[in-house]
Amino acid sequence: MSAGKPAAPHRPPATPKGYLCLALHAHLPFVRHPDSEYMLEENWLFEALTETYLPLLAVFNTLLDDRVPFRLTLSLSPTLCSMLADPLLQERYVRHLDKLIELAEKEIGRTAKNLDFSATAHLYHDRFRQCRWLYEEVCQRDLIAAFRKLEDRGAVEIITTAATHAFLPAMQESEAAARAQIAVGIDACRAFFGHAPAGFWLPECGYFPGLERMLDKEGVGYFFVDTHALLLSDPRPSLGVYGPIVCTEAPVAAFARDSECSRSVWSADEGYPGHSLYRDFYRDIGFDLDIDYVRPYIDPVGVRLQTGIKYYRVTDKTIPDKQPYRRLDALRTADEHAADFLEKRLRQVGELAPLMDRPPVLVAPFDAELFGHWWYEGPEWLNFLIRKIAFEQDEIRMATPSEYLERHPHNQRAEPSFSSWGDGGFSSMWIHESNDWIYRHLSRMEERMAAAARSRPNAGGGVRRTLNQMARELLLAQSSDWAFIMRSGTQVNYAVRRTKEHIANFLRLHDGVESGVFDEQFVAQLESHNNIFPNIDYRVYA
Amino acid sequence: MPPRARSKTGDGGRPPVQTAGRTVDARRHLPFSRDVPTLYHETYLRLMPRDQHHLFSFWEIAPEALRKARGTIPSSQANPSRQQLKVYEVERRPGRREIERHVGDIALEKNARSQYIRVPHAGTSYRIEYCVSSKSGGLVPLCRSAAVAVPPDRTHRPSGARGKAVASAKLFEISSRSSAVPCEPSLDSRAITDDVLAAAPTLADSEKAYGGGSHFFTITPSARPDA
Repeated sequence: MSAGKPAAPHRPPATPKGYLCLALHAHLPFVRHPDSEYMLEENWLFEALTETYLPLLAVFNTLLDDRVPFRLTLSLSPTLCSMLADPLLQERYVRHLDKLIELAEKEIGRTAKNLDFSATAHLYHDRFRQCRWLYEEVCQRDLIAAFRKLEDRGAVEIITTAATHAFLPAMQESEAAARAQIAVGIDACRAFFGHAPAGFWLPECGYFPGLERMLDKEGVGYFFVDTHALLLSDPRPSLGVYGPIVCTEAPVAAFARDSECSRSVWSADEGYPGHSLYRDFYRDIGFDLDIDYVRPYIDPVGVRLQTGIKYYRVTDKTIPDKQPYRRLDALRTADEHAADFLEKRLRQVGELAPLMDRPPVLVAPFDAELFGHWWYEGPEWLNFLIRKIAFEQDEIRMATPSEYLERHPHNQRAEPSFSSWGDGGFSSMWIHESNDWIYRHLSRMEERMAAAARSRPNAGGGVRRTLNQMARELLLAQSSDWAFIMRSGTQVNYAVRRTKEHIANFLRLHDGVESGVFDEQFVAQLESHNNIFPNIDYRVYA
Repeated sequence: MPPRARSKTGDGGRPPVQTAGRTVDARRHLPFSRDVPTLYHETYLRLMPRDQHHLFSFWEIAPEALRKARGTIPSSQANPSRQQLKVYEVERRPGRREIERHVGDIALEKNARSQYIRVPHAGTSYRIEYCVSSKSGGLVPLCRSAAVAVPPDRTHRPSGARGKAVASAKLFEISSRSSAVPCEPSLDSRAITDDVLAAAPTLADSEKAYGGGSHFFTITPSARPDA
């Protein structure tokens, strides 16, 4: 992948029949444990780097090198960026990759005489080595810079999200807390990418009326919501979800997800990732092979886990046993699915355009980690789709929300409805009997933080450091991931543990501030351990 | 990787189930406590919207405030059934005074500190009030929540030029085709009746869907003393 080469001049038709606004949201909760040599949950980042972030970077850079014009929106969460920029995690990732390469080499030997698996073993070996080369040699471990280059080359618009991905509808009564999540997220974007974001990814697409005032105050021009946020908006949107609305209370545009676009990818019944020829996510050698063989590559205490090496395809449901993965068949299917997706969008645009006074915009937001991690062929599907949009038709053009608003600045004013993209469409994933205990603590912390910030507008020295760390602990406790994990029932212990630790840390720091005792050792320990947002200013809560 | 928000995913999108969070390295426990307080000894009452038909509330009453309200009755002697949440519908219109209408009471168990409330009308604002019995037997309000709105379950009326109404209706119909959340056609919100309420998901449906337990409470039309 080469950097800095300008993209070829893009000569699309003067006015396309419609726009496709593809948005990828990349996020992981902040997980960094300098006190442990090994921490299972740090693998979340390593898996996403190997299977999603590096493959997507490779795809996007290849497209640019091949002079394929494309535009998409990329939301990179501040917690993810902080981890990508962290030297400790960078070092650990290289170590993780080296282990993967070693395991893949062993797999080449083990499967040498097995025609079903040998080619796949080579595939993993090649891909892990390519990841290492991309990460170490090309990117110099600096993925933030690599994403920034994509933006400089005109392919993506980078936006941000709330500081720690808090579910903002749970903060309707804590305006200072919601405001801080937004402001700190935007500050982090400035620090990482050198500019304020044009748009803002609402964590979990969680919106409540009035949120736009806070976004407007920070200079945000647009955000994404789920379909029903617009369908239930007041008044009803005259263009359905095929044009943005401008919020009644502040001039910020809301773009709604087109559920037909999403269904093609997300639907459990019809979604592409479940196709029988794609790689199966669950059958992994970490579970399938002899424990002594995989022991060096799993949890040190011997708990089996995913290694990333998987030899089977999803397989037709009528066949009792999983069948071996065939890479070429899977890629051919990804190509067919890209064609199918485009054909459906062309049909949609053909139906919509005569009904509208402007080209419809089809908004397709996805979790970035779907591409590669959950759906192994996802990056290739994107590659095929973008090439087909560029060269095989001229009715649909890719655009970012900023570009759409530039071309169509006059939009209907309406108030979107409270909504999220979680199951049920509102807050039931994040407010449930399995996780509702957290809100008592969060509300107390939010009130204490705001009161402490207001009463100490010019704190210095140890008090200032303590207040800043209180702000970090509060932000980390608010991460929507913890409540979601508690609700979904996997890795619950870790989510509970993290939430409780941040609550306890915050309260101890708060006691110190109130009693005038500065516990330098404790504050320093937390500053080193939970080192996110190094430039935070607690007065964001004032 | 941790599971992510969309639950209706394809086979490639289901979260893994095999890596339950577990302790691996003893050193990982340093140096932070996980002791969180059971009580904060403060008075607060929070109300949060959960979906079109449910609110979640939690509260705490500082011991001093409770004693004062009860007229020095020791809390051990107080009648536990006389802790109540009063539920109000709140109508807010620009330029007009807020109108509050009492729609129901919820008798609380002795040590209850949170409550799910099923409310009658989607798209409406609600407020709750925490009350305890006084020495004289009356109810003393101790704490009021802010008013919060549950989202609507029906579409609003369209606006704009009449000439575009047909196209707009068609666009709306196309937009709604695959929406995960059903959006019923608009009704004048004042005309929402008990029939509409009856058609809404039942408490049993909600409990099934959300895993709700005994602390779900429904405000039904018959429970509206002021209706």
